[in-house]
Amino acid sequence: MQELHLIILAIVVSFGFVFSYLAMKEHDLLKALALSSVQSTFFALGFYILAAPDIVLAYLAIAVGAYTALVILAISKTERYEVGE
Amino acid sequence: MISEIIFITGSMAILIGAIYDLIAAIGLLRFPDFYMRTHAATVGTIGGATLPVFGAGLVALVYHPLGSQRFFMAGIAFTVGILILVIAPTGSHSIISAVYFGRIGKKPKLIVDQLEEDLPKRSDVAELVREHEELPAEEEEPKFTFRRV
Amino acid sequence: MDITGAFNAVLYFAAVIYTFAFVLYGVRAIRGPTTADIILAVDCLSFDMAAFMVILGIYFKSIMLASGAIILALWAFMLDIYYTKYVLYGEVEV
Repeated sequence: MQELHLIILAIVVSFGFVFSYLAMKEHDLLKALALSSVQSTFFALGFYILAAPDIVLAYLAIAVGAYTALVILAISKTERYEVGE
Repeated sequence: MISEIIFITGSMAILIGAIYDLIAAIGLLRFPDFYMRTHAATVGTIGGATLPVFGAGLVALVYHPLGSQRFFMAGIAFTVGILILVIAPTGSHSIISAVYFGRIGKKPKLIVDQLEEDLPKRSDVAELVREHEELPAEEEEPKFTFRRV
Repeated sequence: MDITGAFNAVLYFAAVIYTFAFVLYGVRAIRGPTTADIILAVDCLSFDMAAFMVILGIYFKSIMLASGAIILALWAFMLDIYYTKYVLYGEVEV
């Protein structure tokens, strides 16, 4: 059972890495926000398997909730697409 | 005797829920357009999340190694189950309405689309706005506002 | 009846299938052509992850771990509502 938890942890953290890279290279800011929320959901399960419930409670409220709400508010006040340099 | 029956019922619910979840994931990956993917997603939330959570609550009621904490665990499980049962259809419905009315993506070829016939045309909405601009005494907003994103 | 061994066998089977389903949801979130597909994948992923957290909480024998599921389900719902309000009305009021 221990090995299964370590395998789940490895898969989850690798997916979080892939999604953070995709969110960094994206020019549509709303799509980047959705990819970032996928990454934070995967990392929440990673913290859960590492047995840190207090970090899970704080990280979910900040990274899934307040961060996405504030960034969507900022996108609705400004531009959605990132202009090339 | 009764505790074993409750345990076997909860375990069966967890196993059936896991299989539902795998079916929903395959459907979400393989279906061609967005509305059919939504069909797979609702299978995944109700059959794949609500059913195993209620099963876990039943297992936690009779799981003796938890000690006296098992009633708290069952309470958490039933709370999560009722929350997902209320929240998941609401969220799916709001996303589908956003995709349909916001004209996002490619709409599949439909034989009958009765919602499209009931909607006001874009020219009708513009005419309605123009009429109300001419008569400033009546303050009545147009019902539907289209905005291309 | 060995209740711990039976539950461990059930949990092993369920954990393998849930992990495979998480991988498939992640692949859809990578391939998704529009933003709505990604939001739908996040929706499914977080609700199933909440169910998996409750099942693992029984195995770890800790109620502090299982209470993260309530918060995950509630905050993932807010993402849908904010996306809908942004697409349909163009502005979001917090």
